[in-house]
Amino acid sequence: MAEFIRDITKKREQRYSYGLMLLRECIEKKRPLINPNSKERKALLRAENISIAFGKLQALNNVMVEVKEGEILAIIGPNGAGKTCLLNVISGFYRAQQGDVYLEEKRITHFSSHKIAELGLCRTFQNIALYTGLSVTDNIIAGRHPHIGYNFVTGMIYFPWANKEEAYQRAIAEDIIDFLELEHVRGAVVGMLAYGLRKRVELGRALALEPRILLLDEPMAGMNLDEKEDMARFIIDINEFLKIPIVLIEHDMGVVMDIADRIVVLDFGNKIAEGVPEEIKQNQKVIAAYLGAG
Amino acid sequence: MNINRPCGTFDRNYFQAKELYRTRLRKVLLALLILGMYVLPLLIGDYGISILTVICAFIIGMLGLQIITGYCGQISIGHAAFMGVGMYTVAILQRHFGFSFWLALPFAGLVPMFIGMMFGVPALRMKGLYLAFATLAAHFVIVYVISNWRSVTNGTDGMWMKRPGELFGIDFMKDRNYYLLVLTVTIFMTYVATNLSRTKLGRSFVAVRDNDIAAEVMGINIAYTKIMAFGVGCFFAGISGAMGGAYYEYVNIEWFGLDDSIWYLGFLVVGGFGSIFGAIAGATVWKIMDELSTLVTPLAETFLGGAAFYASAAFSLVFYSLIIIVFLVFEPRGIAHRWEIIKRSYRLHPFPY
Repeated sequence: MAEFIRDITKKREQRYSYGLMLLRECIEKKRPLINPNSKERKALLRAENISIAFGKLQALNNVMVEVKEGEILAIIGPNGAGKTCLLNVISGFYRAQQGDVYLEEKRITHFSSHKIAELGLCRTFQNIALYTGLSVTDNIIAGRHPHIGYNFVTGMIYFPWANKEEAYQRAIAEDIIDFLELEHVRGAVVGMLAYGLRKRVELGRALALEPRILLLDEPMAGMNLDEKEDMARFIIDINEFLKIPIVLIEHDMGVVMDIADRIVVLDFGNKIAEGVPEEIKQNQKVIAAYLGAG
Repeated sequence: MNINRPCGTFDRNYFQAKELYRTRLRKVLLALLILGMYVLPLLIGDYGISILTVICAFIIGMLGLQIITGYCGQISIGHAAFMGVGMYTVAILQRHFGFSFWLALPFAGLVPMFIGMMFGVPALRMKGLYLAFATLAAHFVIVYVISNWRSVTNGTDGMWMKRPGELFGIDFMKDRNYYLLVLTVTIFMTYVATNLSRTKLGRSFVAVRDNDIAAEVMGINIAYTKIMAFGVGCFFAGISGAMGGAYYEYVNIEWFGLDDSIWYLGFLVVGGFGSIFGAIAGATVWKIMDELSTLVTPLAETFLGGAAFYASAAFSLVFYSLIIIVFLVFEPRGIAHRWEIIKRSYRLHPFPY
């Protein structure tokens, strides 16, 4: 036991200023960080010909989106364009009436949400959806739910191995807390926190799940410039350090154009453009529908 | 932000970080409390022991309801009925199958657990008030089965139930020794419930309570979690029923009416949702109120004369309602929350916050 403590403490000290070291190790144990044949940037997530209608309202119409290994993909569009709806379809909230979602060539259209999460497709919400009664640390450990090995009887009796596992999960949670700079509020109940901090906690909880792909629904909505910069830094760091591809819905064009590798533009449920930021800026359709000529 | 910890304590590793009792003082106090509970029956008479036994039995049941309603957020109006299932399981196993109490005790937990899981299924589609009505059905079905399946349950006449015999030379027919047994079981169940609340399953309960949509997306199987909540909660209720029923050595369906289920919920509010201490406090207050009402009756005789005899039945109800109303108005988060505030102000003493 003492050795175990020394071990994780040492590991944490090595990269104390950065965080995420333990989490990265955890992910590397299960899979290589970068797919060995990702040179040709294989598609990790594919949503093919997604259509969904609520009554007469066609929310998504034959939308096709690909997320490639290691990229940041931004989805933009006016309000009601179907951005969040697309994320809901991908994460198993809505059932698409037509079309399929593939994660690493595995069809996940019919999977239930928690199954999809276990496969590593993880998302945050536009209006924060945290466990308000738990502390920040507990929220993040709760995010590690599928990765905690022991069964409930072991937990109830609190056998030594459950104790050890809990300490290990806490170490990973602290790792994420370090990375997201939440140290000063780690014990606070989430319901009491300020909006910007809650957004960060939610990102931390999503990270704790060791995602294969991270879907962020407006992570910077309602933040000031400082907080936006922080959040952008976190997103880029996650992308670079853990090689996790990120799908980002965002309205702040400055941020999107800066950090996104590729952009998909939706309008009234149709995909009107796709490409690198420079192309999107010049695209006449996009300017007419969303960006404006200013 | 994080002021909920004693001054001057620091975590040096992750085992310390998740400790429940950090300072030596608190550990000593806890040990003294447990020791005191064991020594107490030597100091008080049979009347006190009977109160303590009933309080202990109800604490186990309240912990069960705390798990279902406080932690998992599923309102259950049928909790007393599951206590009854636990009682009757022991009685039936003893009468028809000749089981000893010890052999029947695990079944007293497991049978209500499976029945509770069955009645927990509506929770997959219903929430809040609607679910409360679905669990109400559990109460009526259970009472109906017990009162009409005469060949097995002896109907409304009730059944005799045997206390455990001797074990390691301890005679449990003596009330004092039986209290020690109930206390031991209560301490063990409290330990189990505490651990449950801070490990994987407990966290997923709270996740489902606070935000079931997010929980589903974060990889928590909601159906499994909700049904487990009912299962574990009803397991506690069953054990509680078995311990309480064996104390009186008699079981009757009159003992777990619908009003008991509702008082269960009411005193959970008094104790405080979502904390183990809340469940213990709620059950204790409930049973103390009960005794208080019997103490008040002779006093009432001086005012009401002969009518006090008739009024005495209403005293407990008046007291119950009064205390629940007082708590709903002045401290809706219960004794547990108030206790947290007291502890906090003690730690911060010279400063107001």
